[in-house]
This record gives sequence, structure tokens and C-alpha cells, in this order.
Amino acid sequence: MKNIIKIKNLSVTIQNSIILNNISLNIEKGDFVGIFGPNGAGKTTMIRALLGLQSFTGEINLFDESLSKFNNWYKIGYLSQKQAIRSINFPSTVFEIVMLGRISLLKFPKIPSREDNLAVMDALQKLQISDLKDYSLKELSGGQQQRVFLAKTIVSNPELLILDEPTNALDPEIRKDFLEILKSLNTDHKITILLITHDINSLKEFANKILFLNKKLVFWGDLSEFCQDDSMNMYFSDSEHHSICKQHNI
Amino acid sequence: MEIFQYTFIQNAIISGIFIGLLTAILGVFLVLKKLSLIGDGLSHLSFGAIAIGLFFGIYPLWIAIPIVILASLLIQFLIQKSFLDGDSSIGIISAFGISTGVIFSSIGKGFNIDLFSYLFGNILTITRPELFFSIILSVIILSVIYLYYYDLLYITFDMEQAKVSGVKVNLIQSILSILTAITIVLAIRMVGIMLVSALIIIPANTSLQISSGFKQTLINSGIISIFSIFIGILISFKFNLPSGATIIMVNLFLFVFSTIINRK
Repeated sequence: MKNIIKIKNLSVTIQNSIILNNISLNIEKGDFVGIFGPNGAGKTTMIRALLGLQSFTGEINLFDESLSKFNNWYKIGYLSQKQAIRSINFPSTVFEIVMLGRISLLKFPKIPSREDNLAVMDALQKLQISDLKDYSLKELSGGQQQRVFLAKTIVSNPELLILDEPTNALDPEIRKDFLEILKSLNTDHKITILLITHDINSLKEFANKILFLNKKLVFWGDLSEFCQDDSMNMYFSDSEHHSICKQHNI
Repeated sequence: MEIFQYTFIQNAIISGIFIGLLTAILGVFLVLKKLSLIGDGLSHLSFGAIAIGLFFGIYPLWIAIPIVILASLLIQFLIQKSFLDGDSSIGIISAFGISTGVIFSSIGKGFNIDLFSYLFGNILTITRPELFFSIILSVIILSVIYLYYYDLLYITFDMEQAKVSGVKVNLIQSILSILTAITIVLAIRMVGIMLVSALIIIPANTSLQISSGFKQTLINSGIISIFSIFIGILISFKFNLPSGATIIMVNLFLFVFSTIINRK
């Protein structure tokens, strides 16, 4: 399988405090990786380092290119933590916001073509929010807002989606819908997904790989290996560990 | 209609349309980036730069434009490198400008009247060369905004997301800083150092109250600004009031009106 992300000896230190220590792993095309760990475990920091938003030591390769030389940002869709809260009062319409996701594909002067307009409409349709295209964010519910951001994230037809706790503010029902959409992007369109979440229940249904961080790499591997690893009981109550694995009859 | 036959009124209205459009459009980006007060800071710095120009007998705007551009880039640098937050950076630049202006006006006693004309501005005294200069710069600035529209929109929406989408955020932010600096210096002749930031802040905020969509917000902000300048010039001419302050009062009236409508 083709490696989408290669991380070697990744460490991050912020103001003399070690946030991530010596992480090495490879993520392959088509993986749906659930990233979890306690608060302050370095999950968001790792994602930010991957995207060049956080300085680090070590090596990161994206799509077989060193991060410092990587330029094909259209291959990556990123939905940051609390995006909806940060953008709630922004005056753009849904259509304008989703169009921003096409920017990485446009050449100077960045004036969207008919094809870009169609791509936006297509993304809106995929997420069943076409009828909201002229609404502003503050007129939408939390679930609708997350769909808008997901539409923006997928509108450039990325090969990798990086999502930082996208379901936190959502009701359980809407959360499930949202994760179903991710699962379909992963299985039907072979999009690799990295999903940070505190919601272990969402992992058990959707992720095929587990990345458990606590400043260092505690566990990285298939769901089946995770279930067979008794040492994981240290980090979860027995029932939680059991529950994650039971779903897959592992 | 007799009023429109005067050359100085024609100059005022034409330059008002161009500069009002610039301040209104850039204002939307700056207000949403929570940099509303940059207009205050840079105009106060212009006070110092203009005083230096008058002191040395050089046309003040030739001195003000490069100095204000450099200061605008310095503010951006200080914010980006997290040395200081936006408010503090602007405050320090502002204090430096005012202090420089006061010192130079105190040393060169003879030019205080000229300096006062820049403090409060007067759109009715704009000359033909100044008008052409304003039009040329305005057309250049509006073209740059058009060409970089989506990049500017993206860095205003979310700087980090823009960076991850391959937008050269530092370059685009620098472009915004330079355009802001030039626009503020141009607008000083119109409403003066004391009120120039109002032209940046008020039309944008009025438009944000009543608009839906970013493009619509920009268009409405421009319309509100031009309308205020036009009505402000007519009122100030008719009642012999200071033009800059009258323009701002019309803007404030529209802001209050839009807020009331928005609350209903």
C-alpha cells in the first residue's frame, strides 16, 4: 500500500515542555485512523506539525515529499478544532465558504471558473445542503455548519482528510450521520482519514487503525491488534476496551 | 444643482467616490480581522510623518506614504511573530507618531496651520493633481483587491486554513497592510487624521449589520461610504460645516439606523 504520511522521530517542544516525543509511524492510503488520547496528549499538536503549522524536530513526508517541499495542498482537506465557533459571525454565505476549499486548485489570478462552481454545488449536494447555499453560517444549526465545513474540506477532491474533533458540538444523532458520511468517503472514494476524537464509540464503528497518544506513541496499529493488546486496559476501563472490540467481534 | 458647477465640489465628489470605496472595502477585511484600530494607529503615525514633511518643506504625503507603509508592515511583523498583540502594536506606533508630530510642530512653529489642515482634513480643498493621484492609486488598489480577492477573503476567514490551502499568507497579509497604509494616507486629505479610522470602521460595520454574504457586504459597504461622502459634502457646503466631520456624522447616522433596523 502507498504511504500517504511518513513520520520519523517527530518531537515537539513548546516553551521547554515536551508535547510530543519521538513519534514514528506510516499511514497508508485508504486508512481510517482514529486518533485519541487524554487532554494535552499532543493530538492537535501532531496534526498541526503534519500541516506545517507547528515547528518540530524529526521528519515528516506527505505523499512521498518532504513537508518543507510539499506544495500540493489540494490533496489535503483540513477541518480544525472549533472551526464553527471561530467562524460563526463571518458574513460569508455557505457557497462562498465552500468555494474557499477550491483555492488550493486555482492559479493566479484566482478567479473561480464554471468548473469550480459546479464542484462546489457537487460538494453541497453530497452533503445534502444544496438548499442552504445562500444562507450565512449563523443561520444554520451545529450539524449543518459541520456539513458546510466538511463540504469545504472535500471540495478540492482531497486524498487525505484531517479532522480535529469535528463532532464535539454535535448531538449523538447528527454525530452518527456525520461519521457515516466520513465512512462513505473512506470506503467509496478511498479517501484516507485522520480523525481526532474523544468519542471512543465513534472509533469502534468507523476506524480501522487506532493511534493512541499520550505525549508519546502508546499504541499504533490495526483495530484487531488493539483488541488483543491487554496492556490497553491500563488506559481504558475493561468495559470500554471491550466495547470497542466487541463491535467488530474481535 | 448649481453646486455641481464648482470645480472644487467636482474634485471633492470624484475623489470622495474613489477613496470612500477604498476605505469601505478594506474596512470590511480589517474589521473582520479585528484590526479596526489600525486606521487610528497609522493615521496618528501620519501626523508625525506629515509634520516631518512640512518641517523639511517636502509635500507631506510623499513622506507619509512610505513611512506609513513601513509601519503597517512592522505592525504585521510584530503580530505574526507574537512579539505583541494587535492592539499593543498599534498603540505603540500611534504614540510614536503623535509624539514625533508634536515635537516637529513645536520646533518648526511656522507650519502649525498647515498641520491643522491635515488634522481635520477638508475634501473641498482637494486640488486637481491630488485628485488624479487619488484616482490612479485607487484604481491600482482596487485592481489588486480584485486579483487577490479570494486570497484576501481566505486569510480574513481563517489564517491557518488559508495557509494549509497553499495561500501565501505572509505575502497576502503584506499586500493588505500596504494597501491599508496607502488608503489611510489618501483619506487623510479628505476627513483628516482625527477621523480617518471612522471611514474604515463605520461603513464596514453598517454593512455587516444589513448584508448577507461577503461580496454583498463589500458592495454595501462601498455604497454606504460613497452615499455618506456625497451627502456629507452637500450638507457641509449648504450649512458651511467642516466636511470631514459632517461625512462621519452621516456615516454614524446610517450606522445607528441600520442597527435599529437589524434589531427589529
